[in-house]
Amino acid sequence: MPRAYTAGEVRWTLLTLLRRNSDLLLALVLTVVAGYAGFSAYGGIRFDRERIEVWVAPGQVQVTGLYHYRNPSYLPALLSLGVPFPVDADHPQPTACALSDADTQGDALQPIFPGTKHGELRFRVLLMPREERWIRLDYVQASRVPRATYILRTTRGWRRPLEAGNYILHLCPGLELASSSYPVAAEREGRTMTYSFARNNFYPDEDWVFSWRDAGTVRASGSAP
Amino acid sequence: MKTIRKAELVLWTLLLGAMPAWANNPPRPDGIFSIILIFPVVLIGFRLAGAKFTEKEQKYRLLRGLVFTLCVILSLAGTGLAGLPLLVFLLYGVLRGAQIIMRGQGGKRILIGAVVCVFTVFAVCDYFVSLAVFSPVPMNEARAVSTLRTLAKAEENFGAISGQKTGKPGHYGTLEELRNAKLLDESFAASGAQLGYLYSVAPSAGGQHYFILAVPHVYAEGNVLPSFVPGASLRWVMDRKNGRGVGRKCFAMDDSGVVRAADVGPVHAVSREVAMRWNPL
Repeated sequence: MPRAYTAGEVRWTLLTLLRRNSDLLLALVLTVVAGYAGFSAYGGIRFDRERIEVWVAPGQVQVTGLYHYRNPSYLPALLSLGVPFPVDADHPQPTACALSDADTQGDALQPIFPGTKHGELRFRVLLMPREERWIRLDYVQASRVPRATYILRTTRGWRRPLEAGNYILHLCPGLELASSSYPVAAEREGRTMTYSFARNNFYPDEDWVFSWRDAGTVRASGSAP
Repeated sequence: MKTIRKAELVLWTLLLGAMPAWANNPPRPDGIFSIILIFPVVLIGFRLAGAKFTEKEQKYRLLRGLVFTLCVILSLAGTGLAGLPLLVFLLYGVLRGAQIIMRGQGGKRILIGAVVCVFTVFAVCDYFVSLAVFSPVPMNEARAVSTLRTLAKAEENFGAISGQKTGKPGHYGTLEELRNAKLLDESFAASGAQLGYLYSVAPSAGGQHYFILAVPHVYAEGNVLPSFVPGASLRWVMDRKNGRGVGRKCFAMDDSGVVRAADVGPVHAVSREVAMRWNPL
């Protein structure tokens, strides 16, 4: 009948093995670190709020996105993300892309220097335990047709709905909204028309597609020039 | 021992499986090249100093090679993942340098060992810098575009407010008027400078139109990131201290909302007519 080993003997054996095989210890440590870094990409971090503002000028779409990430765990977590752009024959790769930390008002703070991979902006930030961060993305995209898309469906990759999403579209003077895939509320701000919609518990199953048309020589019959 | 070999195999498999395919923010080529150069430098140092590896070191050569290969792969991944491998490389290089001094022959062993240690520290620093330092030019330029929009929004608000006051169609304002009306952030300097760009706002006669221009305060001449040469990142950082500019492109926007850009060199004034011929972004 095999002899039962005591806990002390097992511990001693393990320690001896590790001491004699320092490479094994190193491999163990590397595995833990790499495994933690790998899994924490999708581990506790939550993407729970966003605020998107789009300005449309003739032939051009300018976007500012504010994204809120939260690490609810008691361990630091690594957020590694790719930002996909709606690129097609009529909408080339965006220019003037900038990523930065932002305050709650949306003002840019410390810049984040992203990399690029397959046309996507990629960035990585470390969230400390219980930390919340707003990340701001700015870009300008040329548009050869009076239609543009803001990608919303990537939210589904987080496997939980957004707590709150605000989406605002500003049309420069002389343009008016032709269509929007989400119902929007219209408001005039000076000579600029602003359209918006907001959602709570938002789990989008379609992207925001909107189009505009030339309103001719539309002039505000009010106070603005 | 067979159990240990199996355990090692399992651990390596796990490690490979955990390799993050989504890795980004990689180091620049000179950083990773410097790190890889540590190995030939150590081997050549050992040979030149006449030092020898022990029997145990020879025995575990293959396993050690695997560990270092994985460390190199991890360090290729860059930010956030390279910390531990970097420590491994640093310890390896410094330890080997010390071993050269202890096991080598003749007086040259001290010099060779010291060179190996210094090169290791240099390579690790270069790698670290190549990870941490990025050209600020694209970021500054993108922020300039964002600031143009802030100014445009302030102009629209100013137009609306001035119209409400007079009961007539409003007019656009100058930078000073926008500041006085508290439509701009306090960080916006009176000179129109913000984050390295100089902004000028020019309403047309009668104030029915406006034109905003952003030019880099210091033109980023030849601000090109280094490539393969080890130490290039370190040198670039030192050059940056001398001031190498914040941006290359000038940006312009009028009341149509279209942002235009051009690299016109180190200028401080561009006419509206010229700027309106620039290509939209």
